Amino acid sequence: MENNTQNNYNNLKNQIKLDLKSFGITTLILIVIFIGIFYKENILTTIWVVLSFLLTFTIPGFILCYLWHDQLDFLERFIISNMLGLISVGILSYNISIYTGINIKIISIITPIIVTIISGSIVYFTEKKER
Amino acid sequence: MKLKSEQIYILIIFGILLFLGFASLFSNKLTHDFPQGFNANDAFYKYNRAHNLAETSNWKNIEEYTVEGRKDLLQDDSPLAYVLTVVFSSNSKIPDFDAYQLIGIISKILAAFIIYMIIRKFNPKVALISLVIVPFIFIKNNFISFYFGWIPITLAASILILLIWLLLNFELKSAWLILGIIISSVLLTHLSEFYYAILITNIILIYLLIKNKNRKILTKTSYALVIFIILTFYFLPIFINNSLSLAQDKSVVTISALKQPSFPITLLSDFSFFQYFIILGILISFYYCYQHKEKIIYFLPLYILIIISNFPLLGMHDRFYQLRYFWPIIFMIFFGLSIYYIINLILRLKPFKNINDNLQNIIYIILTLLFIILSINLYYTPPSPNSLVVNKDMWEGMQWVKNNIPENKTILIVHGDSYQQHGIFLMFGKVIHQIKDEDYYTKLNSGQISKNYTIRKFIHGYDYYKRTGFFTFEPVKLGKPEWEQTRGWEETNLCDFEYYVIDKPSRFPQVINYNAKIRATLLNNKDFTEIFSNGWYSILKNNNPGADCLGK
Repeated sequence: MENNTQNNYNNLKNQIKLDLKSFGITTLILIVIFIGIFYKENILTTIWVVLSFLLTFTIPGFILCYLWHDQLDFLERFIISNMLGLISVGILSYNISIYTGINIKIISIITPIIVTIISGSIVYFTEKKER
Repeated sequence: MKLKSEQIYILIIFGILLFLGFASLFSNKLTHDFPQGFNANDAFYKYNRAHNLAETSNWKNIEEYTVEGRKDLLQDDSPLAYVLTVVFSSNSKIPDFDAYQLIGIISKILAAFIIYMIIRKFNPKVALISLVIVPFIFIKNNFISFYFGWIPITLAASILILLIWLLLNFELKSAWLILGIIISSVLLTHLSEFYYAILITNIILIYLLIKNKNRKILTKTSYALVIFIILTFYFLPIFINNSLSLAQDKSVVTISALKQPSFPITLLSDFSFFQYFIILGILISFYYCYQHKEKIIYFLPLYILIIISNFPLLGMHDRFYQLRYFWPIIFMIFFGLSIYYIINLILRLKPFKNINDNLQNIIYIILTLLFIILSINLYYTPPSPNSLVVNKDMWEGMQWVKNNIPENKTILIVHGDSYQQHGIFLMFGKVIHQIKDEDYYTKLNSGQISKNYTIRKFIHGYDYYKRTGFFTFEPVKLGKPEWEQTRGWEETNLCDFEYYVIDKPSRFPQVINYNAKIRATLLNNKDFTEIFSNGWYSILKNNNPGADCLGK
């Protein structure tokens, strides 16, 4: 039983290490593609647009996709995470805006962080329950 | 195929799609001085909702300058596309009109890759070859949704594709949670796609229930329903109220005579040479489902979407046609299937029998890339960045009005070329008045500046709601009681207004001259001063509204 738990933990840890590498390379390639297509734009602006998309939507969604780290490969999780991140951040931003009336610019910053934390917690407790 | 080479392949396709969607539309820049590719009313109406949210952080009420200055009317539009625009614009620091287009284009590209993932599970080789028709998402009329600013529909249909992916992977851990989130997001993005989502979800879940005889599906679905209610708690009563109103609009679902669509739609012939493979693929899919009944689940949701996108052929509302902008994505599996069958037939021939699996994969990749280049080369026309806001001067003038003229002042917009699409009036950000085109041209032809013109206060619509309680809504009719007959047009004294916004250039020399004449006449009066001027606009202030301004 204890061995199984340790194995699961190690699997997830190894998966995260592998994903970090793939995520980093994918980010670099995406930046190069964007710089190539938007070559008339200031390079720093382009880099920031790509990074802000990844930070705002992809990462919150990608963390949630760890629910399926042993069922789906990196590519599938990466693609799905973008869409999941878009809708999760969108829904939460809307609800915070409606119920609290906080300035939307503040919501734009805090919502991806909240979604990331909630996603991480969901993955953590789901893994814990399975162990 | 190795994972890494597949990732590279997908990134190449992503680059191609990004190029097709953006390079021309955005003129190879990410940030612009004014909106690019906004070519219809809706583009401005919809973008303006995002912009208003960015400015006011208020999604509860509709923009006051579109409803005669009333601040208490309910915003009943689905919010998600606008919220995402503001969130992304705020974090990336690109203008909100650029972020609005970007969210739409990226979500459509993502939808193509999600379908790829579905097909990959069905058959990786079919998935590879299916990407051939993906460039069509930005080819011909499939681009209309971006010119018309139909980003909410684009996003909602993309989420619908995500829903299909989830339902086909319903064995995944915590799928109920994601189902709840996805269904909520469809509702919060666009009304009609929500109905499609419910239809598809029900059909697939019933299919899974019958096939697997696993009652856990019901439990999972009820959990998803709880998540859905929590996430849409504020909007759900608005949706119910909207649906009840929609049910009274008989044109939406009542079957009538076949009618022409009121906007450019996607036709099968738009796929040119590829359409024959799509038709063949659909026929093969019928045969395949007959032979392998367990695989029907891959095709069922797509058959449903194809049927819905053809409802207007039965005489239903032409808005169902909007789903056709997703035909290239919906048809991917059928196209891939037909080419796969043809290649398989060839590979069975003697000379090709010894080709191994790796070589076959390489053949598929090369064929796919060749076909993609062919489809772009033959059929792609770069989307135009042209907008109804034609240049920086025009945009600056509109922003000047928005930021400098106080609220509750009366503003008259004198005739201009772009205002035929009246959504552009919203860019002034104020309650404005417009001159009726016919009356303007009559007066122009007479060569005289008259005391009275046919003028109305511009409003976006007539029927609105006020939310009086959580579940209660009070209908509100804007305009005077006779609005139904007059549409608000009244003979009005030209001198009654406090501000005049006059277009300087036009495609028609007569308009340039007549507008210049109005400007000169008004400026001859001591009560008038020019407070803004650039290459596009002259904005005059009248310090004595109501007094004679024509010097007669």
